Amino acid sequence: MTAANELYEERLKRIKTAAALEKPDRVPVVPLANAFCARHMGVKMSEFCTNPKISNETIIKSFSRLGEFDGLQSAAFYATGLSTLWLSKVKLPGYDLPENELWQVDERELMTIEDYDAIIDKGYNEFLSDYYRERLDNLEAKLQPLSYMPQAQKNIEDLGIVLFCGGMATIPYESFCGGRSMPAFLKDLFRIPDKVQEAMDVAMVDILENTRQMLRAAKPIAIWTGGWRSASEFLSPRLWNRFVFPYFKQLVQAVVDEGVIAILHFDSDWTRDLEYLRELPKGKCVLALDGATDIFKAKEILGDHMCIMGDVPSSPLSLGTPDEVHDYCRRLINEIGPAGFILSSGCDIPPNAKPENVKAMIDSVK
Amino acid sequence: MKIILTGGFLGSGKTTFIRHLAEFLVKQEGKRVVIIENEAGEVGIDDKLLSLDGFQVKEISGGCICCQLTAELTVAVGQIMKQFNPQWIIVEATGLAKIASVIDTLKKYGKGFESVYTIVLADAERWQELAEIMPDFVFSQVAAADLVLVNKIDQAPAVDLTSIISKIKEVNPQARVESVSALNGIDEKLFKGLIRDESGSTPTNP
Ligand SMILES: Nc1nc2c(ncn2[C@@H]2O[C@H](COP(=O)(O)OP(=O)(O)OP(=O)(O)O)[C@@H](O)[C@H]2O)c(=O)[nH]1
Ligand SMILES: [Mg+2]
Repeated sequence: MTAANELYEERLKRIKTAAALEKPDRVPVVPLANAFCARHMGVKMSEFCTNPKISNETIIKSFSRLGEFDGLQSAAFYATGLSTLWLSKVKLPGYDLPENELWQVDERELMTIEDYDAIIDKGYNEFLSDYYRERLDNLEAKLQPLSYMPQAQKNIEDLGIVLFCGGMATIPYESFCGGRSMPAFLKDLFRIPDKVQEAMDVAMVDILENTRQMLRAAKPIAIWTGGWRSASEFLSPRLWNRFVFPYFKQLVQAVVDEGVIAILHFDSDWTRDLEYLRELPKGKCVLALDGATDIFKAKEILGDHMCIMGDVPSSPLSLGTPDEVHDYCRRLINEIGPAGFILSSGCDIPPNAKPENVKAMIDSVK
Repeated sequence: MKIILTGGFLGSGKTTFIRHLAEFLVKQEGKRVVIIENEAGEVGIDDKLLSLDGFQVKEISGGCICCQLTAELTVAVGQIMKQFNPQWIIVEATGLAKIASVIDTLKKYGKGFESVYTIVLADAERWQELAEIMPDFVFSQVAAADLVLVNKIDQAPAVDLTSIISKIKEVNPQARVESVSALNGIDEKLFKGLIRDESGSTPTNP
C-alpha cells in the first residue's frame, strides 16, 4: 500500500465511523467548496465553472494550501449541471455575466401548467428528454464535459482524499419548483394540488430508477440528496407532509438500499420538521445543514439517529476572524460530536471566504 | 450612512416601491442613494425600472444558493460606503431571505452605518394564499419589520384588507402598518413619516 492509499483508508474509516453514528479517533472534516477555490487561486470564474478539468485542478490546488482534511464534497464543478436538478437555465460568467461573477440559476417559467399532463402521459424521462432539448437548448449535449467526473474523482483519491459525495439526486418538488418558478409553482400547489401530486408520483418512478442506475454505475460512498426550495420554512406543515417528505423518504430508501449513504443536504430552515427525519433509516444518512436550521436542536432530536454534518455558516467564513471560526468549530465538535458528527462548511464555502478562516475550520479538528 | 432594508416575498412589489423611495430621497431630499439588489432564484431586475438618474444600482447574487447572499450583502455594503459614501443605502433583499438573519449579519459584521430600518412588503392580492402555503415564512418576515406595507391594494377587496392588517398587527404589534399601491405611486407623507421614524430607530455599531 502506498502512503496515499493508507491515508485514504484511514480517512474513509473516520468518515464512515462518524456516518454510522460511532466515535472515530477524531471528528472528520469534509469541506464543500467550488467558487471559493477559483477566487483563492485567481482562476477566472468563467473557466472554473465551465470546465471540470480546470475546476478539479483548482480545487486540488486551493485545498493543498489549507491544511489536512479528510475529504471533499466536490471534486470538480460544472455549472450547467445544475440545470438537471432545477430545470432552469444557468447564466454563466464570461457568457451571460461578467467573467468573474458567480454563475446564476436563471429561474423563469420554462415549465408550463400543461407539462404536468405531459409528465403523467409520457413518463418523466421521456418528458425530460424533450424538455432538455426544447427548453434548455439541447442540455444533453451540453452535459458532455461531465464525463470528466470519474477522472476528477480519481485525481483527488490518488492524493488520499475521500470524495464524500459522488452524485446528486433530488425530489420532484425541487425540480418542478425550479422549472415553474417558485411563485407559479406555489400557485399550482394551491390551485391544482392533485394534478401536481399525480405528476410527482409519476416522476418519482423514473427518478428512483435513474438514481439506482447512477449508483450502480458510479458506486459512490455517498450522494447528495437535498434541496432548499422544499425547506420547512417555505411550506406549511400540511403541504410539506404531502409534497416533500414522502418523496424524500422514497429517495433516501432507494439510496440506502444500494448501500450508499444519503447526504440530506438541506439548505434553509428545516428546524420545524426535524422530528420526521427519524422515520429515515437509522445510521445511514448524514444531515448536512447550512446554518439556517438549528443544528443544536438537530442534535437533540436526531443525535441518536443520524450523523450530522456542518455547519460553519458563510458569514463568519467571509466576515469573521480565524479565532471566531475556531471557537465555533470547537463548540460543534464538543456539542454535536464527538460521535456522529462531520465538521464542514454550511453548504458551499462562499467565494469571498477568507482562506485563513477556512484553514481555521480545517485545523480545528486536531 | 443609513440602511433601509426592504423585504417581502417574490413579486410583492419591492423593486417598484424602492424606485419611488429612491426618487424621493434623491429629488426631494437631495441625498446620495445607492440601491443594492440581492437576487436569488428570481427574475433579474428590470433595468428600465431602476435606470433613473441620481442613484447607483448594484446587483449581487449567490449562485444557486441563498445562504451566501447575506455575507455578500454585508461585503457589498462596506464596498459601497468606500466607493460612493452615500447617505442612504436601500437594500432589496431576495424574496426568499429570512429578514431577521439579514439584519443580524448586518449588525454583527457590518461597519460604519448608523442604523438599519426594515420595510416588509406584503402582497395583498396573494396574502391569503401565501399565508396558507408558507405561514412560517410570511409571518417571520412581517415580524422582523419596522414598517409593513400592505401593497397592491388596487387588487384586493376592502374587506380582505382589514383582516390582513389586523393579522399583521397581531404578529407584530410594534410595527407601523400602511396600505399602498406601489404601482400607482406613493404619497410623500409616507416617506416623510418613514424618515422621521427611521431617525428614532435603534442605532447599530456606532
Ligand atoms: N396591481 C399592482 N401591481 C403591482 C403593485 N406593485 C407592484 N406591482 C407589480 O407586481 C409585479 C412585481 O413587482 P416588483 O416590484 O418587481 O416586485 P419584487 O418584490 O421586486 O419582485 P422580486 O424582486 O422578483 O421578488 C410587477 O409586475 C409590478 O408591476 C401594485 O401596487 N399594484
Ligand atoms: Mg425586485
